[in-house]
Amino acid sequence: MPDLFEVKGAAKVRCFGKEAVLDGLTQPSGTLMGRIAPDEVIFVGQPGTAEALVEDLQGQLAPEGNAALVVDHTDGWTFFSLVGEGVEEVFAREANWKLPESSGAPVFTVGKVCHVAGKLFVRPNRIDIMTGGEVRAHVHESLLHAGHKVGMHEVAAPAVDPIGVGAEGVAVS
Amino acid sequence: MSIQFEGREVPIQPGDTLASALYRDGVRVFSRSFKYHRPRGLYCLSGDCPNCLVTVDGEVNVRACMCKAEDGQTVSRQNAWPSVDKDALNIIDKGHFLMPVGFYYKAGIKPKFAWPMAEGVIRRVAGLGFSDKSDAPRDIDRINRHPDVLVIGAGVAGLSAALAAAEGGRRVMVIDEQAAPGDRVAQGPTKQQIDALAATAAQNPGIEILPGTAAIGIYEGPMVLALRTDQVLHIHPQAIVIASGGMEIHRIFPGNDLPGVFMARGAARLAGAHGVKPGDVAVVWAETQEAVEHARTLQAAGVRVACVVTAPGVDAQGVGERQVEGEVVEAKGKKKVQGAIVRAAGGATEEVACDLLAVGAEIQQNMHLPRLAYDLPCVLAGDAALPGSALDVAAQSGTQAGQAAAQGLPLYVNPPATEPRPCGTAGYVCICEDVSVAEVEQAIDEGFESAELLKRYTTVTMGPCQGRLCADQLRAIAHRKTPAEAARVAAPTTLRPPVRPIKMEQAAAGARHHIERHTPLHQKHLEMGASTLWAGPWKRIFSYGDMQSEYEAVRHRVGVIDVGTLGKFLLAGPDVVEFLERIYPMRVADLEPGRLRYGLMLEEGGVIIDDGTVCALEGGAFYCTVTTSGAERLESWMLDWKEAWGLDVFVVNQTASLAAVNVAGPHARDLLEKLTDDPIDKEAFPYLRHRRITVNGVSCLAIRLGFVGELAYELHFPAAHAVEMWDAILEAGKEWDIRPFGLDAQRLLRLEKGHIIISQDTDFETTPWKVSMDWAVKLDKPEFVGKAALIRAQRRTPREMLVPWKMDPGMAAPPEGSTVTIGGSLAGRVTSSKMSYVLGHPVGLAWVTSEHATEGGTITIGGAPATIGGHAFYDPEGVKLRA
Amino acid sequence: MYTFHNAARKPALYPYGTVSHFHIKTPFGYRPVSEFSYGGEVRPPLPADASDEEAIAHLWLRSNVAGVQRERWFHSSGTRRWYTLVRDTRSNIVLAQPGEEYQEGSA
Repeated sequence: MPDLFEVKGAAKVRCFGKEAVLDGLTQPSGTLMGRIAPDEVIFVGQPGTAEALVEDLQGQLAPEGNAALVVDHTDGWTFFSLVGEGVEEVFAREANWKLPESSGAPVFTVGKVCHVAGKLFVRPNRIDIMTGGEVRAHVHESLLHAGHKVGMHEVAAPAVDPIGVGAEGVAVS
Repeated sequence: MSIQFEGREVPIQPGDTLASALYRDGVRVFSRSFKYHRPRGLYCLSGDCPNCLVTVDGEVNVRACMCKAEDGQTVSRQNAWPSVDKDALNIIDKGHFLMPVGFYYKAGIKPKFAWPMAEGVIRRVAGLGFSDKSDAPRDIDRINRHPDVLVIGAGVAGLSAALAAAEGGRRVMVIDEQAAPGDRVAQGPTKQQIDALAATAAQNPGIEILPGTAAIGIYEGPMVLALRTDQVLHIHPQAIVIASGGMEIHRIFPGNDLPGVFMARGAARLAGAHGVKPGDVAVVWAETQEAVEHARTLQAAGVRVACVVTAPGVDAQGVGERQVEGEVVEAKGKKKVQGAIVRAAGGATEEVACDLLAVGAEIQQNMHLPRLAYDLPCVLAGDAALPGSALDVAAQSGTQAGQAAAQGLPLYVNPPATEPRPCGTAGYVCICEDVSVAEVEQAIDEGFESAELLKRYTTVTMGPCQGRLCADQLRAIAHRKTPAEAARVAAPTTLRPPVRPIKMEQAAAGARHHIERHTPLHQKHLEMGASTLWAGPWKRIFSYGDMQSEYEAVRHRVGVIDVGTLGKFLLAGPDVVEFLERIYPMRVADLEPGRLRYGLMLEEGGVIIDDGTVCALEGGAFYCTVTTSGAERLESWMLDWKEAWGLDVFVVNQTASLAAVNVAGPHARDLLEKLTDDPIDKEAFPYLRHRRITVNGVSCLAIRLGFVGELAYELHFPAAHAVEMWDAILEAGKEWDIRPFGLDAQRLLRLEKGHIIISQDTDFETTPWKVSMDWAVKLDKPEFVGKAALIRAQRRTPREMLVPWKMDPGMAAPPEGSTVTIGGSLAGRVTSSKMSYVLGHPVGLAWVTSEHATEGGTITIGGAPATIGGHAFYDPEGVKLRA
Repeated sequence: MYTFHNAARKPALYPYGTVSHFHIKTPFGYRPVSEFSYGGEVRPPLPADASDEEAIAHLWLRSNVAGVQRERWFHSSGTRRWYTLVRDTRSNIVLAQPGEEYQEGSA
């Protein structure tokens, strides 16, 4: 049966720039990476690491000057994690599109979840859902409602490595 | 095991449906018809006709022939008084000639009181089950599924298709209405083959079989809507195989709706699948060879088959006591069948006594799902494609369909309509709605000649069967009456989902009420007793219970408002200045870091679509705010222009990542000085500037604006600190009796300053000229959105202008929306209006025709005189803002 | 995974109705049109020397063709970017997905 927890304060940093420049970025260790668009990439890190991430990425993008931008968006999106067997059953109640398959590494995708825009990391037995902070209450309630049908419980986020990147951080396809 | 049926216990056996259990117990009349309360018995036993609808455990209109009998169920019949067996309301049937089709369009019109009375009676006596209105809708589970191939129907063709598609490497889902594949098939070669195929499919990991799941609609996508007992499925396959089978045509003849008249498949089902004798003496009308097999099944169950009436080409040798080539023309009996009139091929008629008439008519395709699947990747298989074909043909068509589905299907196109088959001249066409052939013909005589009109006028095809039984017959009758114009009168009527009745709670499954957007302070506000209101998709605070005291705190002491709903954008990039110069009508390039400017946003017609501020940040970036309801729309609007101009600029929506609060009032500075060490005095931090300061330990962008007309600092900071900042401000403000204030107070505060609210005071034609905001537009800029239109607009005086107005003390503030008149003629309307506490008289804004829109002029609002003002009524010099 | 969005398929006029739900290709796969907001038909910008009549037409009139249209959609529920595609408004078949070339005459 799946569990739900919220990772409050997960670091989220958005980088903007030319496609080739973003292609050349080195993913900071301990993060999840999502390429939203050719000109935008997000890095998600453990709570409390936002400042370090911003510094790292600003350093990498410094040669671009004002043709690149790094923004701390930690408080702008929520981070809910569905973990365990049956997470697809919860998702299938709140979205009408098919999740991409993951063989192990997190796969990043976007789409409508709980009737709002969402950004997701999909792994076997784990789906992380990021939506706008302004709809946090609605998304939380929706996920609980959907999970209720499959015996999902809400639990506290793990104290260590709540975003689930493991000891060295995970490369994303 | 047993069920409770109308006060008595009825035993049930494993595998029983409610229909088979009740029939075995002697029940013959299962319902009373919709309009005339005619007695009705089991007919199709496949869930397609309305005859066996009963109430089960409080749920109305349950098909007894499809509902598995379970220990302890409470079952009762519907639509009769005092009972279904002895229904007094059957008297309506005797008077049926008084109530032909459409009688309610002609009768009861005069006198006027007649219709409401008649309607009340009709609503009580006509219909099916009574639902319990006190029952609350349940929260029905809705789930999405994404198989590669969806097969509808787990018969021989459907299961063959599933196996073929799975072999082609696709993930297959098979859905079937029955509780298990083959459930409603009598013992015999068909059932054996289904069982074998189902067993093979069950072993196949690429096939998922969902029994008890009825497809009730096919929509674009494609999306198939399917119902289970407690769940609604939205299935999104890539390809669909429709193997939903066929059924016998509903033959029309006098007495065709009597209890004891069965479709031959239904009678065989009852006898062969459930082991219940449908009758003692049967006449079987075998139009097809298949029907002869059904006659055999009846015989095997102990029914005496007195006569088999065969169509030409059907061989009934050795089945039944006699075989007659011909047709059945009438069923005789009062409340049940007592005999069948058989007309032999030569013309001679005879009455054969029987208590069971099994009509084995030609097989037609179950046409609902195929007709919904046009333009979608879909293929038909089995009886749905070739009705009445042999088992091996069905299996082969299924296999081919499955292979085609696995490879990728072309879009399905409905075959052209064929001429309808001939239909009987007397009897009930529509047994759902009680419409006879005579009534349809009468409607045609009245002028409703085409099937589409007849459908609407007579309601044929609009009952629970949704045309399965009667659609073709309706066309046939229309064709017969107007044979020369088949295309006009006999075209197939439009079919729409759902094809089976769906409850409102099922249709609502998965739907959501309005989604509310909240700032991080929302809970806090509610705890403080705030009332809320919608601002676009956001919930904002209206007031904390006492608007006047909130207002007075701001005017005389200090107040704080949550403005976190404001749209906030970070704009940066090599072309950001060029971009902003083109987006805004005022200058931006000259703003040094630390300065800000009020900005209107215009669309190409020069009309104001939003307003806000533009702050120039260190490092060449800009921070722009827009209205609450504007952010979402403006983000896409700005990105669109960015692409159109090909500019290298980043538009970052920070609306949710930053919280914002506005501390306003004469003591605003005193309060903030308690929370910050940074200099915020007038010299260090003048009006219309922004500074980065640390408040309560949090780095904020502080902005000095004047929306409410007092000294104010608007703080923008990371949303995670919202609650602690709010608490700190309220704590620090205690010494001045600080109040949080909401939109109700804010609207009065800004109104006293003459500040507009977009879309309250402006509309879809409002240019800056019409609201006297010429100062916000710099026409000497090379290019900005709306420039050309504004120049054009300048060539003419606007029809009307927005002006501030006031009334004398002691008068009441007129309602917003009141009309403005001058000399008795209409001259405008009021957009904002409130009583000003500090000034002691009503103030507001109104549209007034240009020639009268001069300062000092008099207008009349709702009969009362008002004076047009200059700009602001309160602190017109703006001394307080600039403190 | 195969898809039925077969761009080579010629759309025809269907006598019984048209598809009203279609998919738009994004970097994250084909997405239902319900995830998007419509941005109107693509039109050339108004030239600076346009007459009053041309300006009014530009602001208020649209071609609204029953046929092949180049148009804009904003992926509001997903990538939050604009996409330009070519669609036959009679059949709702997308003739050229974002990034694809539209072949004249393939309609």
